[in-house]
Parts: sequence; C-alpha cells; structure tokens
Amino acid sequence: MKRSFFLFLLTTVLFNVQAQKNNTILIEAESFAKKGGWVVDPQFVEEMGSPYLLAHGMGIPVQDAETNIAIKEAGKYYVWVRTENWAPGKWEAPGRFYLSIDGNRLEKVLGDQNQLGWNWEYAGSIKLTNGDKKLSLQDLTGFEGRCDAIYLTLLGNEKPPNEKDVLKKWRLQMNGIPVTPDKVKKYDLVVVGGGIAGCAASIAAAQKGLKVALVEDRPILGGVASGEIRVRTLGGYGKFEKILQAIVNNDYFPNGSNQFLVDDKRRQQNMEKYHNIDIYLNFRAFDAKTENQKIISVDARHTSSGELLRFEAPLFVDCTGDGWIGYWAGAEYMYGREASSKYKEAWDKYGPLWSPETPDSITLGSSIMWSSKNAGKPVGFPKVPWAMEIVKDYAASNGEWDWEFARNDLNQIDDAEAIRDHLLKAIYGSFYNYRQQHNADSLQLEWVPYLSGKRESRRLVGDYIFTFNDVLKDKQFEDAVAFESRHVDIHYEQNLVDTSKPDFLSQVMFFVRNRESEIPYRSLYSKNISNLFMAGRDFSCSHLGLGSARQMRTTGQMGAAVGKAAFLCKKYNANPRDIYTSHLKEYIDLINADAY
Amino acid sequence: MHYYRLCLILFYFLGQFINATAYSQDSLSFCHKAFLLKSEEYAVVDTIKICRNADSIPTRYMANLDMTVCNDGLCAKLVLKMYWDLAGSYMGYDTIQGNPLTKFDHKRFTGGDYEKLNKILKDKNSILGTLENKDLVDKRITKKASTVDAVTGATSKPIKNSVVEGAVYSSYALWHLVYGSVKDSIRAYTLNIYSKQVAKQLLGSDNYDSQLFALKQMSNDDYKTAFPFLFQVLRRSFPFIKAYIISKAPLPFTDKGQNQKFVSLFSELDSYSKSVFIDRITTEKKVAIVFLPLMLPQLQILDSKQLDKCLSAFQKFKIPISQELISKLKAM
Repeated sequence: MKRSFFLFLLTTVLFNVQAQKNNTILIEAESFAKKGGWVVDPQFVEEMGSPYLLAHGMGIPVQDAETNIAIKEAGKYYVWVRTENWAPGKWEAPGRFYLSIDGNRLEKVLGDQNQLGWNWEYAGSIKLTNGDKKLSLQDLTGFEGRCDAIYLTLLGNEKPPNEKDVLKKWRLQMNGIPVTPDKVKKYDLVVVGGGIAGCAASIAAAQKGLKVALVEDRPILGGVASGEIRVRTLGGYGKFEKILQAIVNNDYFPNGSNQFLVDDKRRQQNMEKYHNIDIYLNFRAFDAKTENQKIISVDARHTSSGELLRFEAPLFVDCTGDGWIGYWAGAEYMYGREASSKYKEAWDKYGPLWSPETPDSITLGSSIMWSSKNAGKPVGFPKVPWAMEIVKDYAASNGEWDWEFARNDLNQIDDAEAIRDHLLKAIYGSFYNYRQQHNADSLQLEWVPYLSGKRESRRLVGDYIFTFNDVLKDKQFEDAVAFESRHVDIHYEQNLVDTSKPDFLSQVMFFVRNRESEIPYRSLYSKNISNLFMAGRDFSCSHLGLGSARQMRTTGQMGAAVGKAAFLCKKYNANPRDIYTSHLKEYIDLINADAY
Repeated sequence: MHYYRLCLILFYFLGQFINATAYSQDSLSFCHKAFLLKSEEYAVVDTIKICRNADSIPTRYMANLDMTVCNDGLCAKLVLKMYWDLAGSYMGYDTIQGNPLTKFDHKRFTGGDYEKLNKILKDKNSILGTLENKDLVDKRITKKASTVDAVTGATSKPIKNSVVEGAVYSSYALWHLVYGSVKDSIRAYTLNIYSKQVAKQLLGSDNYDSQLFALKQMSNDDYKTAFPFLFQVLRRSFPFIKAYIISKAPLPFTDKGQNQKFVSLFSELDSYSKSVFIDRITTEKKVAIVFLPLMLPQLQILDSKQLDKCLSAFQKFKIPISQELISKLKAM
C-alpha cells in the first residue's frame, strides 16, 4: 500500500500524458503536473472517453492548473480544447475558463459552446518557438468548468474527431499508448472497487492468506462511505463484525459530517495492515479479457498519468457498483424495475410506485448531499440563471440523502454525468434562492461533492436472484452468508405525486420485515462467468431485492463472504459455483468459525 | 368545535359532488352503518359509516371514534370523527364538542397541534409506519406528570417532526388506525357498491392513491369507453397518474380525433410522462404507424433521447419521413 502512494507521487511528478509528433501535440488535461484547484473527475470515462479536469469551486474560481509541454517544431499552432458546456442556454455558460500558453492567454473563452455534450472548441492560434512552454487553465467561475484534452497542431485548422469510437482510437494513436498494458500484476484475487464491499472482500481473503490486488479509481477507499460522498453505513454486521468495524465507524456522526475524513484515515491504516493486499489507488479498470467464459485479466489505467496495468488472477470480484467487470466480461445483467408479477413483488400499499405492472427503466437515484455555513461576514454568491429552470423558487441551505435524482429516460451509467450535473444545478440554484429569500448574505457553501452517490445501476445475474419476495416469505437459505434486518428501503421522486416539489427530491417507502432476511451465497457469483464474484449494489438481485439489501454494511457482509469463498476456491482449485455445490458445509463452517 | 380537514376535501366536494355545507355540518342523515371497525389494541369497536349525497351516491366513509391510548400509566382519551374517501384514503378529522384532544399532563391541543395532527395523518409515508410503540420515546430522559403519579420518556429525537409533541402515543395510535386494516376493509366495501359514479368520483380525486384504485378496477374495454373522460383526468393529475393512464391507453383509438387529441397532449406533459408517452408510440408497429406521422410537427420539441427513439422507430417500422427533416432535426 505504501506502493500506492509511491505510484501516485511518481505518476504525478514525472508523467504528463503528452503525445507529440513534431507537428502535433495532444495533452490529456488530467495529466497536468499541477492541478491547482482543479480536480480529476474519472466518473464518466465510459461515457465521454476520459478522466477530465473539473473546476469545482462551489462558485469561486479555482486556482490555475499548469503543466509544461515541449515544443520541438516552431511555428503557428492551431489550438483545440475538448470541453463541455454543461448548461447551455440563454445565459453565460457556468463553467468558463481560459487557456494560456507560454504566458499568452488565448482570447477565446472556453466552455461556452452553445450545445450540450463534449466537443472540441477552437481556442485560437499561437506562434510558438522551440522549447518548454507552460500551459495553464484559468477558471473564471468556480462552477464546474471542464477540460478533457488540449490539442495543438501545425497542420492546419482541422477539428479533431469527437465521435466516441473514432476519438478513442485517435487518442490511443496520438498518445502512442499500447492497447494492451505491458505491465502485468499477478494475484490470487483481484478486487475491483474499493468501497465497503471491496475493502471487506480484500480483508477476508487476505486474512486467509490470499495475495490480493484492490483496484480503486479514487485517491481514497470507502466509496460512497468515504469522505468524498459521506453516506453513513446502515444495515447489519452479520457474521463479519470485526472486518466491517475495521473499515467503517460512522455510527456517531450524521451523513455529510467532516468526521468521514477521520474514518477514511482509519480505514486506510487498517487496510495497510494487511501486507498481502496491494492497493492501487487512482487506477480505473477499463476492460476484462475473457476466454471460455472465464476472466483472464482486468486492465486498468491511472486516472492522471494514464499508466496501464494488467491484473491477472484465477478469481475476480466485481465491486465496481456499476458491474463493469461483469459487463466487459459478458456477464448477464439486469437494469431497471422488473414487472411486479415477475418475482411476485407487488405491494398494494404503493402499487406501481413500488413495482410496475410492466418492466421499466426506473432505478433508485443518485444523491449529492451538501452543506453550507455562516462565514461570519457577508460573502458573495453569483446568480445562477442556468439552474433556475430546475429549482424555480425552491430554496435550501443544505441537502441530505433525499436530494436524489433518477428519471426513467436517464440511465444511471450512460447518463451519469447529466444526472450529476442536474444535482449540481439543484444545489447551486436552491442555495442561491435561500440566500435571497432569507437575506442570508453571510451564508457560504461549505461542502458540495462532485461525485455522485449512486444507489443502483447494473445488477449482475448470479445462480440465485435475491428478491423482495424472499423477504415477504422470510425465506431461509442453506447458503445464507449475509443478513439484513433494516426495513426494505425504496424511493420515488416526490414530484411524481406532488408537482409542487422539484424533481430532485425523493420520498422513501419502507417495508418493515417480519424477521432478519438472509442473502444467499449463490447471488454473489456470476451465472455465466465462471470465476467472477460480485459484492455490493451489483449483486444478483431484483430492483426490490436491492432495496432489501443495499445498505453498505450489508454489502460489506457480501464482500467478506466472497473473500472467504475465494480462499476455498484457491484451496480446491475451484470456481465460485463449486463452493456451493461441493464445499458448502466447509464454507459455512468457515464463516461461522471466523464470526465475530 | 374544531375543523381540521384537508383542503382537498372541500375542493373535491365543492365543485361537483356534494354540498360543502352539508359535509361540514356532518349531516348524519345521509350516513349509515357499513361495517364495524375493531382494534383490540385500543379496545375500539366503532361503526364505520358510509355517507351518501342527496342523489344517494356514496361520497365518503366516517367513524365516531372513542378510544383510549395508555402508556407508562398515562392515558389519553381520543374522541373524534374520522373521514376516509371511497378508496380508504384519509380525508380529515373533526373533534366533537366537549371532547378536546389533550397532550401530556392533560394539556389541551393548541390550534397548531390540531393542524400538525392533520398533517401527520395525511402522511402515508410517515416514519411512524416503521416504528413500534417502544421506539417512540427515549426512556433515558424522563418527565413526570403533575396531575397523576406517572413518569414517561421524552419524545425520541428522530420522530419529533412526525408526532404532536406531548401526544406521541396518540399520534402513533391514530396514524396506525388510519393506515391499518380499515383501509382494506373500506376498499372491500366500496368494491361491493362499485358503480360508474363511484369510479368517476375517485378518478376526479386529488389523491393519487384513490385515482389509482379506480384505474385498477378498469378493464381494457373500460379504458376504451372511458377515454374521453380520462383525457380530462389525465390533464389534471400528477405525473404518476398521467403516466399510468398513458401506459394503459388503448392505442390506437378507433376515433381518429382521439388519436390527434392524444398527440396534442404531449407538449403539456412532464418529463416522466413524456418518456412513457414516447415509449408507448415507438414500441408497437400498429401504434407507431398511426402516431409517429401525427408527431411530425412536434418532433422539434423533443429532447435528443426522445428524438432518437422516434427516428429509430420511423426507420424500424418503415414509416416515411424526409431525410431533409431528419437532418434538420439532428442539427437542432
């Protein structure tokens, strides 16, 4: 794990993904040597092509990001910048910025294209001499200006490609990056996703002596329970209290508390105690190679440096939340709400709000919680006309779990950036209204994450699909490995039944269980990818099954359970399914023997 | 006497179905016994009455409740009238002269308390539904009654907004009574007397739950015959009900005018219903070939996802559309 920090430092200091032929240069913005106040946002790589730099200043322009490039051929360069105006309309774009090269600011304001979506913006031309030149991004607003890449060319003013697949190939070609990583890391178990489930899986396997790689695309572990998103872990400890208490300790503070940062440190320290866990922070997986329905390797890229690594192992755990490893490997998956008749999950009290008569693509939403504080003196906050269509006159000074957005025509994966941006507009607009309506000119935003806290997306299909019907029937399983007693917790958008409410607030529907529910091991490995486990919100369940077992301690139990199963897989050179069919008693005995 | 009932009741009855004055005076002459409401926990055996208007059309249910809620040696008597609509949705309550509601230490409810109780009882999703009696107060913090020799705990912090302070157990008992088995019993009774007038009344309700109850009683044929009326319902309903009606609409209508009317609804819809609408007209060929040509003038107001779905359906079902228009729309 110290290795992870070393890697981070190394890549930050030395690498700057700058592809250069003599007459063209492509700079990936996330590789800037000094990020200033800009942050690397890797959430939407699969959607828009790359991690990017985000000027997340909560309305206050952030410090410049800077990097050096080497000009090998002097001349007049045409400069293109890949940006996005995330709220186009009849107003000044929210995320505007300038690009300077060698101390000269290009005149064009960037980030203000009057169209939705990522695109190349022509920034202007500049004559450059040979030698090192400093590039800097100067944020003008603090409202999520975004820069993906910068392209300089002597070859004439031709716009680079923007179509997703063409751009991907062009990038690889320009950057000279091999399609296949040349660095290969071998482990007993590769866990992708460092949320609570991923951490628990890693510890459980490591405790049994497995050599584990934990791959996480953020600089810290914890996922939705980390200091970056700050959602308390509810649910039960089941038979893994000791493991879970090593990675979560947030009973004593509310959602959104700064104490989550303390818990992050504690988690990191506890994870680092396991010398057979190698933690790869800031590495985002982007592919899984399979042969005969078996994953051979997972490839990951550093979110800033672009460094590629290949992870090989006999077993993999998908704790990505979005089920990416399964998706790339060709695992069967589900998305959206099943018809109530499919698994007999209807609940008359709420009718189609609970489960629809025909399947649809509604999911639980993503949340961004936020807070403000009294600055003790008047502080400014700009007008946010681009947020008003969403918030209208709604006003708020903070937001809890119920600041949640989902819509049946927006996919939690393919439209994740639009969903995040919708929530940001909701926050900035509501905060602006609050200051106006309450004459609160000393109130300033304190904490607004730019990461969405997702509740639901893809769910991979296992040998068993856990459903709400299992809860209704108090079903008991011989392979029960995780346990949940909290109420089933499903949400809907308030404005579906009350149009006076904005579309970013949700309403909870609770179903109180008769008894503790059991989650079977068979819902924790893929039905058709022979060496893939899953733990977390992408486990094998119906939409309502997820509502019955999605709390993070419960998903942590799932992680710990697959970590233990991985040990037996290694012992018997077996696949996850074999543990159920041939070694179940030993497996359950193992969990019970280690229970704490 | 206090009158704390939902504004929607008045709104609901004022216009079309019943004389508001008669309701507020609670003319019992129109109400008769429907069934018995029993609650062993609160020793309640009260009669649920069904009330009818002057034309003998059922309009609502009511009960004169007389229950006693005791905890920690402290008891509160709850004497009041409770009203439900024909789908068992809570409508409001009324106190009875000489029987004010009281809180801890027999303090009388204030005006604000009565309003809060109404708000609590309106909240179908209240946290009270997930709690047991023992969760309501924090026994670590106690307070002593001055009028009797009893001690009780302080209201548990997470539920303070969900109960009337000082009347925690009463709030809890009434909420559970309103959302307990009585709702199912009312629905069962209503189904026995179900008629077009009852259906019309429920569909005209401002309560989405009651509307849904009525919509679920409708057969496919009912949807065909009732759609002219459902257009009105759809226009004045919340997105959830709009989308439900759209999903059930018997498309295409045999009446061409209705097809056109259906399409003209699109621009008035919210984003959720729009998405359900687009799915409806782009999935089945027999529907798409009727509706997509009618949508041509509206294609320019679609967002990119909606437009993509429509253009794909034009192509899939081989419905004529000019390349020039496609290019123009994509450029927009």
